[in-house]
Amino acid sequence: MIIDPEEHEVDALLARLPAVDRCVVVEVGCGDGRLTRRYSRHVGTVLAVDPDQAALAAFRKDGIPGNVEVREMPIDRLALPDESVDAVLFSWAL
Amino acid sequence: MVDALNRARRWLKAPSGRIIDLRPAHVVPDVELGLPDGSIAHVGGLLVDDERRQRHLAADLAVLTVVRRRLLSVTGEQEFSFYRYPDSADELRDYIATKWQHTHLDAVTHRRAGEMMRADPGARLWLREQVAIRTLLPEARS
Repeated sequence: MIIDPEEHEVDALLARLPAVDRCVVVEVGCGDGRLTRRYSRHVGTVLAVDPDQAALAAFRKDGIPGNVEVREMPIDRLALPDESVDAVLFSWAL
Repeated sequence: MVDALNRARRWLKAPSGRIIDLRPAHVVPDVELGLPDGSIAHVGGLLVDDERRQRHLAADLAVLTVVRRRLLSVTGEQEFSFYRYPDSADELRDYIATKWQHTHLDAVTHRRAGEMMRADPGARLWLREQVAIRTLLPEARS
């Protein structure tokens, strides 16, 4: 299966991120990292969260990019300081 | 979902921090066939369970709620087509069965896609989802 070879999705996302090369992103619902891999090389850091253990195992299997941290949890268990993030991406997750 | 948006809002740096909401704009993805003459044939839509429909409505309602409460404002919204290209109708059926919980490729659409591909070997099968991406900015902090 070839998915979004036109890269419409990542183009639309990158156009919306502030200070994109230094951007601190929290991605909610990263799944197997399909989208994370595509945009993470353009941003500062990514904290990618998902409660789906199997999806995250698939993400880890192919290697996590160096600027990406993955946590297995739902958003309601994620504790972060106020005003610490440039963008929160709900990735097909809302 | 409202709680999730409100939690995310608190994490955002001022003044440029933002939430980006990326998800399907339409509930039902379309199976289509691109023909060699450039035309597009609609093969069918996927079967969608009530669960997916309800989740779709709940997400829309959550965004509406945080806007009405003046927690966030929607500053921009865009739609685009998101394509998945299988090599065959069987691959599409198996992919959906493996990856998606509340959406199915029904037997009629699966058979029709296979027949149309066999009738026109130059055709390309795809699954198209209309996807929306919107930016939400904090209105007020409490």
